[in-house]
Amino acid sequence: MSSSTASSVVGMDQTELFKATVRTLKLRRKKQGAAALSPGPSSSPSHQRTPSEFATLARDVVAFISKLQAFLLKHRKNYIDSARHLLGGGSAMSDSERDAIDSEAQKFIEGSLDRINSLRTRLNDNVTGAQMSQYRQSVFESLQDYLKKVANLYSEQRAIRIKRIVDRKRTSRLQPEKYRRLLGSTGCGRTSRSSFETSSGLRTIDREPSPAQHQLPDNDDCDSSDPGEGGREERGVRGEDGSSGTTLRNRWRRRGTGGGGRETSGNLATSSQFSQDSHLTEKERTEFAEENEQLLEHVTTMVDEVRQIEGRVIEISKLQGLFSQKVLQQAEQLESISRTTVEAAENVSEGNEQIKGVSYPCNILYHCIFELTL
Amino acid sequence: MATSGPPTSYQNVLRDKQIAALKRMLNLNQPTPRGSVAASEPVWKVLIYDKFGSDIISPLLSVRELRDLGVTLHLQVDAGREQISDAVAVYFLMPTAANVARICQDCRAQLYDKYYLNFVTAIPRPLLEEVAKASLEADCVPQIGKVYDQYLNFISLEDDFFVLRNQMLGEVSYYALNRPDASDEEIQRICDSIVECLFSVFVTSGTVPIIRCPRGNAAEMVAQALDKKLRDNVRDPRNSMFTGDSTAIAQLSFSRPLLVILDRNVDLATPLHHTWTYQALVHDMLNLDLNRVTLLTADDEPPPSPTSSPQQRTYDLLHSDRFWEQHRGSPFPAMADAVQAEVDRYKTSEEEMKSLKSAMGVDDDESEDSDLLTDKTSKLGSAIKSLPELMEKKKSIDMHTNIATALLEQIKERKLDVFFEMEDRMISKSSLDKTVLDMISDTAAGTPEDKMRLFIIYYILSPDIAEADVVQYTSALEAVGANTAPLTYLGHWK
Repeated sequence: MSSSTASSVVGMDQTELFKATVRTLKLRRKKQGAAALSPGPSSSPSHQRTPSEFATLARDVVAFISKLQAFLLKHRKNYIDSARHLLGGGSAMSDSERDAIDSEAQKFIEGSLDRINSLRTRLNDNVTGAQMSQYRQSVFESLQDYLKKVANLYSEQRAIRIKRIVDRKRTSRLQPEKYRRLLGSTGCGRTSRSSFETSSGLRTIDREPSPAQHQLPDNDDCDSSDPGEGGREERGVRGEDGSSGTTLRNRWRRRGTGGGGRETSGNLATSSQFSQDSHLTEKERTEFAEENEQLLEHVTTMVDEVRQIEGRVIEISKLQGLFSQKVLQQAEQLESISRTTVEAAENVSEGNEQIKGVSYPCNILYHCIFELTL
Repeated sequence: MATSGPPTSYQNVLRDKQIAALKRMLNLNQPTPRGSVAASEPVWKVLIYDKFGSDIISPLLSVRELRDLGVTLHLQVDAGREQISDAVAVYFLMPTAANVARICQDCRAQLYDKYYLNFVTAIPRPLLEEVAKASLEADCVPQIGKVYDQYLNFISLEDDFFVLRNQMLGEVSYYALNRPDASDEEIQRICDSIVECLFSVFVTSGTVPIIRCPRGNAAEMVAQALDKKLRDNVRDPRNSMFTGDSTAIAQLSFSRPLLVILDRNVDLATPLHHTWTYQALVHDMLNLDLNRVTLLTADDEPPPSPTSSPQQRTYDLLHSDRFWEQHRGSPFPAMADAVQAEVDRYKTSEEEMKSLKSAMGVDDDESEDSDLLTDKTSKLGSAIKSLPELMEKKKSIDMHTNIATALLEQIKERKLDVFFEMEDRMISKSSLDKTVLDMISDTAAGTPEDKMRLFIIYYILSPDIAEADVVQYTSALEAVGANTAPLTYLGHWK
């Protein structure tokens, strides 16, 4: 038995004995009270007590929060373990699904908060004494505690997910520099996809057992782009990206200092401390989550810009090819013109010679014309 | 009258078992779910107890823990109680006639929605019938959820220390047992109640002990009665407490605990001996009761905590307080040094925090020196995390400092160290520097009780004292105002 550490045999349940006693008493009464039936059982009304409004409302809130908890727990395994399942091809939970779960949970939590607040207004209805009001106060507080515990579940999940994203970004950020260095040395002209994905390939070469969860979520996380053309462009893009990566990091660092000692940014380099953030309040967690979302957006927009620039550079190169062709044509034409001119000049000078030898008066005229034309 | 309890092996801690039983009771005797992640739905209960029940619960569960278990209100059974018709009521009482009458009254008045009756020890048949009758009359039988005999009739003060009761101690004291005019029935009654409590101990721990006792006195009576009760219970397979899952049976066969029952007469000197260790001093001087101490503070102290009246401060000396666990057996000087060391350590950590605070303020503009800043931020982060711990430590240090100061005052006033030393020497049969007579006539030292204690120890330990000497001592004692009645008893006793 799972609960066998504590002795499961403690005390004696006398309920059966009690019920048996009640039954015997009833029988005895029936025998005795067969004569005196008048003040019999009809006098005691069935105690159907309608529970007070407060109680029904409180029960409702509890049911609502429990639904939220069930919902969270159902998806929790998938939510957290999705990265590992991806390897085995199991039920992967895409980011959009996770976002959907997050927004659902948020709505639920807000709904519960609303209900609890409405309960607060009902706290003092129909209060029949000090003990009653104290009881209601405690009920109210315990509802808040329950909601807090369930909301903790939600924020834990979220924190784990965001931590993963941040870790991924962090490790992938380190890659562009490394890749550039390697390119310089080996001069490889890979026609591969976006920087993040190639870096995943490199990572398996560079650092040995990288956790699988880093590899594949990269595929998941970054949108795949069109294959770049030519190593030259790739290098250009990489250089761009590497620099954007470092500027990102600087920007993150600066934000960290601006945040006044916030743990996340200061500890981007040592993500181990992130795991100790279970003591952060929910408010802080949501703040961090928002900040991380913003950073994520920022990075995504930068990736888009980079791709645009890539396209434009390709166009420019095409145009330049055209331009060089045209220039070559022009050169040829110029050359033919010059040849033609040279021939013409020669012809004219020959003609000049011939005319000189023929007749004097016309000579002078022709000479003049030829001289003029030369 | 505390007897040696079961050994504290890895799972056998009596206190934990008692806590588990209480929690189970508060969970309306439903098995507690073992899900670690999920929070369970709160069920709101009102806990109603009598003095016995409150003594049992108060060293084990704090109000905070009760809240977590869903107890919204806790009330005395005798207090005026109002109708709270949505609540489930959990009663935890001794099965006395008065309590049962009160329960019946509640049923008739329809105070609560459901009633869960838990009796500290087995409810006798007639009283059960009383309850049945009353509930039938009030027609609230379906509302009585459960009737349970909890068999929790003992108070666990620490992991390896329990006492049998804290109420009405006069009824079961040594005096009651041993006074010359005690009738047989009274003695029998006292033995029965002791047997009952011990039986609860063994039911809770789930083991049947091997019982050993000396012959010829009250201890033998208790031992025999307990033995009989245990045998009867084990023999009856239907109702036995001790058949359960396999681990309980394994405990039966491999490691039955040894129960040694001794009569106090074996060693009268020790309870009278003046003490020198921390916990014993607190118990002696400051009335440590159920792990709680109340100090009367002097006028010039800072304003007290909200829970105490202006001149009193109540402290709980708990299992979870690390300092207490470490030093409760240490002699007073060692304990005082330890408190001082703790205070110093706390001061240094406070200094660190302060310096960190100022450093953070200065370096806010440095954005380039990110490594240094990361360092500082992480330091600040860890400082923030350790803040609640530091607060706890401070509270505990304050408490121990106050207690130590109070003890010191008393010791100085009553010259208890001298008493202790003398008694120690007497017990170890080495020579004394002051004679007992000097001590007794020394008006600056100690209350008359202290002197009485000293003399009694002396009397007990020295087998051959001349009559004349005794008379001399008696007159000296009377001169300082001590009550010499105990001496007559001791005369008989010897």
